[in-house]
Amino acid sequence: MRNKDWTLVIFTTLTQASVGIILCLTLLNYLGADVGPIVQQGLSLKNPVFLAIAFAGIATLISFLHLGSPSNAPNALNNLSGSWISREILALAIYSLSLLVTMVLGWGDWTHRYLAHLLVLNAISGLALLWMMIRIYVMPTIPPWNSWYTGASFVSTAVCLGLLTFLLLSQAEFVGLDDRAGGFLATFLIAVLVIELLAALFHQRRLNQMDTGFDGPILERGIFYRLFLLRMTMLTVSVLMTAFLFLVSGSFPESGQYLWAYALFFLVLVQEFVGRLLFYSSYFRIGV
Amino acid sequence: MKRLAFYFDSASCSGCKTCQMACKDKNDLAIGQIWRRVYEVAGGSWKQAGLAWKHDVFAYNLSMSCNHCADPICARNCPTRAIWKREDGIVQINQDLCIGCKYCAWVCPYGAPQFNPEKGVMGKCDLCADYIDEGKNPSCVDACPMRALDFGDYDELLEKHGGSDHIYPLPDNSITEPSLCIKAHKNAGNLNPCVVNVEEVKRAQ
Repeated sequence: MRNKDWTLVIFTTLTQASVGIILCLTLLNYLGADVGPIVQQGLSLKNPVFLAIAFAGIATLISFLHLGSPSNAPNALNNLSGSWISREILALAIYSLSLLVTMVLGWGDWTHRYLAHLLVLNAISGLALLWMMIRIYVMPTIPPWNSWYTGASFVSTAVCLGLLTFLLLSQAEFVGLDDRAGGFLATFLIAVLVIELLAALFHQRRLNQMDTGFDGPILERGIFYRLFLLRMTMLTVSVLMTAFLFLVSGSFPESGQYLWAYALFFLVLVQEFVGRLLFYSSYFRIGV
Repeated sequence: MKRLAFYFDSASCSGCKTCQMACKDKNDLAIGQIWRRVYEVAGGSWKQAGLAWKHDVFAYNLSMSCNHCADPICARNCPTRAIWKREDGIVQINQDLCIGCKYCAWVCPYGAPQFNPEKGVMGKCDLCADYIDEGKNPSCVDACPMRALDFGDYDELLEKHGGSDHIYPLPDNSITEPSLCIKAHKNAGNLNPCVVNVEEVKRAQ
């Protein structure tokens, strides 16, 4: 991994976690859960919209550390017609603004009336942001990123972290989920983790077969490969833990299992960071 | 529209790296910054032929800087429009606009844009645009003792040198359409070529 890429690891993971939270909130609303009171909690960690804004805000601040000349940052919007980075920054601004509108309206009584529309607006702007982020990395001159895996990994990061945040909020009894909604989220989480596991295995196989030019093979041995094995182990344990918690309690998460729930959240979070670290570390480009 | 380009004669290059030093000197580049790099390519091996051993060992050099591509992938993707193209085809970086996101360095298949940690912005070969404006040659061209480097309009260079070759380790020309005319070393098409000074050329990126 090149110097300062850690800032991109944090920026992309947190932004995607933010989008994931909003997608889950919209999904829950669509499933008929009463999410109105949840988004009326203002500047509270119990409020998923506030959490999503906080994640996006922290991610934005950290992204400045990646820049060599942060004072020139406003220029990043100069090339909206050609650059996916410019579009991503604009999408991030629109997404954050739409979340702010939802949160501010949540303080009043207006949210109940317009909540479904606002959440759809938030989700669409979040998906647009996710799309722009994916397009930045899908470049023909960077073979390891120029694949379906980039999109799959970004989307699965968003969904996994969004789902887990809700399960955690539910565990802390900040969000009331009925058995049906809780069961749905847990099953969905297991499915996404399994897909992520299989996608990572297929992608690693593809990386192993790549011609890395005169750099020589770097993706099938050494620290890179050990980190990949660590991530696969963490993913497998995460799937088993989620299944165990869900099957044991019948409706994950059961109160009293909060330690397990926090452990699961931490495990998946670390796994996502390791996955993103591997993503950036796999960089090589064609040519000289 | 004019399209200024470099010409490189791989058959004549001795690998002395005077071009590299002239570029560093002219642009006052710090340690680690090499806008023009010389790739040392070698390959071949020994083979037994009856009682004798014969070899097909070969070596050649490739001096490479920014190729001022007709379709520069760096400029296309630069979020600030700091990378732009002059009327004569020279691709330049306006460091007053650059945010130092390094995306151009990620995507350029020639490793041309390089991050300057002191200034916090990207830099690269500008074909010595100031010299060209004064009617002079780029410093690397004038410094080459073997006259392996030349520059001029791309079409005129192709006509003058009878076309252009594609040699290892250059990427497919169709990606960015580099303004580079190359005369290949006679062994450039041999099997199993590899860059032997990887540490040197990679450290500059």
